Amino acid sequence: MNPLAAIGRAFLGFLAGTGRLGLFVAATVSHCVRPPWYPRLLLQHVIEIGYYSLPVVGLTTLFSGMVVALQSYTSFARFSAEGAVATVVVLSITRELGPVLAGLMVAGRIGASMAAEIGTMRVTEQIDALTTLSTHPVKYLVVPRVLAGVISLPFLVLVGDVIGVFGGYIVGVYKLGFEPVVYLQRTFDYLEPYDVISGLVKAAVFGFLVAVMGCYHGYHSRRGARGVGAATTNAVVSASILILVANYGVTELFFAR
Amino acid sequence: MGEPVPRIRIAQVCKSFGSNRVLDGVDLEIGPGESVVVVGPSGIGKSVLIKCLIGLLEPDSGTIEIDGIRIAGSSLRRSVSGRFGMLFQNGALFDSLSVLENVAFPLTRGRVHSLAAVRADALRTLARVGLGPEIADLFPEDLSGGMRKRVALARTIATDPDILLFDEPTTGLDPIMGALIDSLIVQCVRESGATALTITHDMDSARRIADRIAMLHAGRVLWQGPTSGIDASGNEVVDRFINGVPG
Repeated sequence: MNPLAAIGRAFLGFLAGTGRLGLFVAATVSHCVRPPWYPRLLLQHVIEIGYYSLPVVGLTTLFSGMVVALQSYTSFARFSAEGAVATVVVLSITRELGPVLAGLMVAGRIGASMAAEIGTMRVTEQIDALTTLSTHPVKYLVVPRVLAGVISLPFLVLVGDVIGVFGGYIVGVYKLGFEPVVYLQRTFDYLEPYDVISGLVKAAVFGFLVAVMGCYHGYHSRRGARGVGAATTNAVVSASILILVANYGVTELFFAR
Repeated sequence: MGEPVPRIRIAQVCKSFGSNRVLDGVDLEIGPGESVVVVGPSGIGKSVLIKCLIGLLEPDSGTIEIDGIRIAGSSLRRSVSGRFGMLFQNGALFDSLSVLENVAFPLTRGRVHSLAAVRADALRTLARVGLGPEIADLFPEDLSGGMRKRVALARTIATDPDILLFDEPTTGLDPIMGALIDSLIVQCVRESGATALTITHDMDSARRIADRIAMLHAGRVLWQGPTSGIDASGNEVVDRFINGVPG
């Protein structure tokens, strides 16, 4: 095979995929603002994403907060700056670790499930059936999931932030010997509303990306069990990569001087 | 007086997938209240034809008209979409919804808050296909293949559409259940006075359902005529197909 032709074919495939994704996002956004809406479906997905993801996000941020406290203490001890542990924990959790870890966990849990569910509906002609019943599949299947992602992730991250800071507090007070009052005071001394808000904005962006990629790959799933499996894998991988890319973009937007 | 306008008119419809030309100038007209069955071996393009008709696929060329209104490739397709009801080959029931919610879906368009208002209608529709209220709260995975097909038929006729499309209605069913589904289809079509287009490779089913049979071969309608005339079609390909002789 001609290697140039292979490269060209791969590039054209990439462009076609990007165009298809762009059209999918445009259709989703356009259906978000046009009736009919499905509030009950939206509520179902908010509960599925926001409530049922709490344990996994809570555990992740709890242990991340504990690790950050321990790591920063042992590192800062070299400069006699152990007192900054509480501030480092709260800033790293609210600005970075909370939203990114929650986003990645939800990508694994919810993005995969969305791709598998919608992909199975594609394979079993349920999406065709929706169309023949005068119901737009994007409006019925995609819009409630995407809105639920955008609504739920900030809530999850807010709870994750609190749990993560609490993890740092446990290690700081019970293992490293900080006074509880002093630790809490240092936690809040340098925390600005901006730090929390930037994390919540990131969470909303990540929620959008996870839901869109899950729905997109499921919606365009190829026939058969193998197609659904590939859609699930692609949904998680692409959402995870996009989360890391978007994380830099939003950080640049908020914190670049 | 001019010729009566057919309910469905398919003229010179072509559809290709890559280099594979599946439909190569299909012509078919179906009158109001008529039940036509398109037969042909598997993979000949019957499902593609029905998907072009209902708008799941767009034909590459040709004309599809409903009551003289051109719908293929036209914005008018949406205005007639509510007139169609389609039974899919494997039912295509929504597996996250109960039987009642599935049957009520065409009435509520998926808005669950209006389910209570249409519950009685949905139960009546279930009764039309011989199913009782005891299965209303079950999910598709709890039902046998035959029951799933009957629920799917109930969903198809729930809004009394005037054009009914049946894609391989007896596939995967035993002969007795297949005959039962066919009799339900005939009953529903007669009761509602709807125009019906069925595609199948099951000749027993075709003979039970059809007023007229059309045979699809090499992307075109090779032969069409009244059901009683197919055995004397005089066409070698049709004879081979109905007698199950490999060609």
